[in-house]
Amino acid sequence: MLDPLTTGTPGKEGPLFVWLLRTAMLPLMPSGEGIPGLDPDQLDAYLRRFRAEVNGTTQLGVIVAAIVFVISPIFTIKVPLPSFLLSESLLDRHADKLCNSPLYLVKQAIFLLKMYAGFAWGIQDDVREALALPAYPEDPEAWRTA
Amino acid sequence: MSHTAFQEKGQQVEAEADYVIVGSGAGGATVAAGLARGGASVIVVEAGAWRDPEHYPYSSHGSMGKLFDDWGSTIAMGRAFWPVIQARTMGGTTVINSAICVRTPGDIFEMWEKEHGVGGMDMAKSVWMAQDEVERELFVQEVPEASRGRSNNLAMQGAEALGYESHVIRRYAKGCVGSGQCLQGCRHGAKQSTNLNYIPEVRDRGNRVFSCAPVHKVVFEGKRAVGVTGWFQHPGTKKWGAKFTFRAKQAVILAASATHTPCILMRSKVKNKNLGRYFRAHPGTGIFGLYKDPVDMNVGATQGWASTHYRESPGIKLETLSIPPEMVVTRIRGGGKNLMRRLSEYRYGAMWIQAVRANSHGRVRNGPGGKPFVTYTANREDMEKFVAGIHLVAKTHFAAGARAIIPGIAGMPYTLGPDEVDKLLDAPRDPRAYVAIMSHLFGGAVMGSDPKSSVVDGRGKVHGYESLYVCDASALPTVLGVNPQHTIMGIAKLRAQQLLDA
Ligand SMILES: Cc1cc2nc3c(=O)[nH]c(=O)nc-3n(C[C@H](O)[C@H](O)[C@H](O)COP(=O)(O)OP(=O)(O)OC[C@H]3O[C@@H](n4cnc5c(N)ncnc54)[C@H](O)[C@@H]3O)c2cc1C
Ligand code: SF4
Repeated sequence: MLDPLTTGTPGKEGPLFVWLLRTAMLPLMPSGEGIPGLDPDQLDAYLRRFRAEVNGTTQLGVIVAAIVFVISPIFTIKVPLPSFLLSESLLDRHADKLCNSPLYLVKQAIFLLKMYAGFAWGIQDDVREALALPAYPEDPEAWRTA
Repeated sequence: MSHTAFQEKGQQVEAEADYVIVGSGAGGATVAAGLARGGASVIVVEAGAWRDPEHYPYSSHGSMGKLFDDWGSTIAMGRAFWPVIQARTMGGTTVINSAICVRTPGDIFEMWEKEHGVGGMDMAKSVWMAQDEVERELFVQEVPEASRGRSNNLAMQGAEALGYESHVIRRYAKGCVGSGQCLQGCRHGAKQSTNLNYIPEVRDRGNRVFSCAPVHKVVFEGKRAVGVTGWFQHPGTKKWGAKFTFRAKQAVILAASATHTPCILMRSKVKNKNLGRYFRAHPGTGIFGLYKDPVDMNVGATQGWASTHYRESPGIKLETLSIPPEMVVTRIRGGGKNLMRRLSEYRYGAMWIQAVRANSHGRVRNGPGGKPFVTYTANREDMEKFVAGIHLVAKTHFAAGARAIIPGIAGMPYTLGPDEVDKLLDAPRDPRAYVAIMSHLFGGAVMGSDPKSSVVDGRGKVHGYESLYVCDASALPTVLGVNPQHTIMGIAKLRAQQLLDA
C-alpha cells in the first residue's frame, strides 16, 4: 500500500513527512565546516527508509521534535517566523540555540532529531571518506528463513 | 532437527520437548546447550530473527532496526530519561555487545549469601568451573596487539602514567581484526556470540530452534508450568503470523532478559509482589579526549582496555569504547555550523567510558503491547560515583596526552583543558545533566531464599510454582561492578547441570 506521507517526488514539492523532517534536519548538519554536511537528496532517500522501517513511537518523537524545531525561533532567537523562513545565518543561530536548550524535554526531543539526522549523515560516502573510514555497503535485508 | 522462522497465519505450530527455553542470549543459549549435551530434548524460542554475520547490517540505523530491541527505544523513565539497550535477535545481546569476559568476583557470592540467602562460596566454585569451560568453548583471549588500535593503547598509557591497575580486555573473540564494529554485530565472525556456537550446537544435537517467535505467556496446569504460547512476528514487516504452542515435559526456562522475563511472568499472571522490582544497572557515560594527532578510534577493537581498580571504591569500571561517527552526533553539543566544526574533529577524538556499580533500583512493568515500561532514577550516592568516574576518565585522557576533553555535561563548558580537570568535581549531581545509557541490566525477577523479597530461589525456580525457572540477568539480585555476560553464562551452565541432576 502506498504511504501518502512519503510517496511523491522528492524535492521542494515532496510529501509532508519528508519536507518536515528535512526542514528540521538539514540546518542541524550543514556543509562547509571542514566536513560534509547532510546531503539533501540522500537525506530524502534516508527519510523514506526511516518512514518505512522505524517503529511508531520513535517516528512520533522525531516528528514532534521537527515541529518544535520549525515553530520555536520565537523562543530561541526572538524572531516570530517559522524556521523555514529564516535567513541562513539566523537559521544557524536557531539550530545551535535549540540544541543547547536548558529545558530537559526540549533537549530530549532534539536529541532524537539529532540522532536520526546523524544516522542519515553517517551513511554518506563523502562523510565516511572525510573521516578516513571505508564506505558502508548497503545493509543486507536477509535472515535465516530455515 | 531444525530451525523454524516466521510462519504465516492460518496454522497452529506445536512442538514438545523436555525443556522449553525462552530467549537465546547469554542465559538462554548457554542453558540450552548444557541441557542438550546432557541428553535432554530442548526447544529454544527466540523473539528475533536468526541472522548470520553476512546478514548483519553495516550502519547504525541498520543495527538499531535489525538487531536492537525495538529500535533501542526502551527508556528508563525517572528524573532523567536514560536508554535501556539490549538486542532482539538470535544470540540476544551477545550479538551487539563487545564480548568482554570478566569472571564473577568472589565478593559477589559472599554478598548474595549474606543479603539474599543464596550463593556463597560453594556456588562461586561451581560458577568459576563453568566459566572455565565457557572460556575454552568461546575462545576467550586478550585483544591481539595488532587489533588494539590507538585509542586502547592511549588509555593504557594514561592509566600507567597515573599508576592505577588496568589491562587489555579478554573477550569471547577468535581472531579479532579490530574493525571497531562490535555494536553492529561482528561481520568477521570473530566475536563468539551465541548464535554462532551454542544455538547451532543445540540444533545439531537434534533439537528445535524457533526464531521470530516472541513468547506471549507461560501456560500452566495448576501451579505447574507446562509450556509457552505466542504468535510468530515477521522481522521485516512486524506483521503477526501463526500461533505457536510449545509444551515442556520437564520445565519452562525463561531467559528473555532483565526487562522481558519479568514482563512474560506478569503476562502469565504469576503472583509475586517482587516481580519487576529491584531492576538495576551499571549506568555509564562516555568522555571524549581530543588529541593532537588522529586517534581514529574506529580502527581497533571496539573495546580493548579496561580497569576494575576502582570497582570497590568509589564503585566504577573504566573502559574504552569506540563508536561510529553517526553515534557521536548526539554526544556533541550544539547544532548547525557549530556542531559540524566540532564533528570535524572526530578523527582526533577517543571515547572512554565509566560505568557505575550503582545501588539505585527501579522497576519493570508490562507496558502496552508487551513492551517493558521501566522506571529508574540514579540516587545521590550513585551520582557521586558517576562524577568521580568522569573525573577519573578525564584525568586518564590528560595523562595520555589529550589536549582537551569533551565532558558532555549540561551546564559545563564544551571542552576543558588539562588545568581545568578538577572543575569536574563540581559537576552537577542531577542525572538530567548527563547523556547516559544502561546496557548492563540486572534484576526484575531476583533470586533469594525468602519468597517475600525475591521471585526465584537459589536454583532459579520461581517461588510457589513448579517447573518454571529463570536463567538470565533478571535473576541477579545485585549489580556486579563487572561486565555481566560471564556471570550469566556461568550460572546458566550451573543451572543446566542442576536440572539434569535433579
Ligand atoms: C551495547 C552493549 C554492550 C555490552 N557489552 C558487554 C560486554 O562486553 N561484556 C559483558 O559481559 N556484557 C556486555 N553487555 C551486557 C550483556 O550483553 C548482557 O548482560 C547479557 O547479554 C544479558 O543476557 P540475558 O540472557 O539476560 O539477555 P539477552 O542476551 O539480552 O537475551 C535475551 C533474549 O531473549 C529474547 N526475548 C526477549 N523477549 C522474548 C520473548 N517474549 N520471547 C522470546 N524471546 C524473547 C531477546 O530477543 C534476546 O535474544 C553489553 C550490553 C550491551 C547492550
Ligand atoms: S572489533 Fe571488529 S573484528 Fe573485533 S570482534 Fe568487534 S566486530 Fe569483530
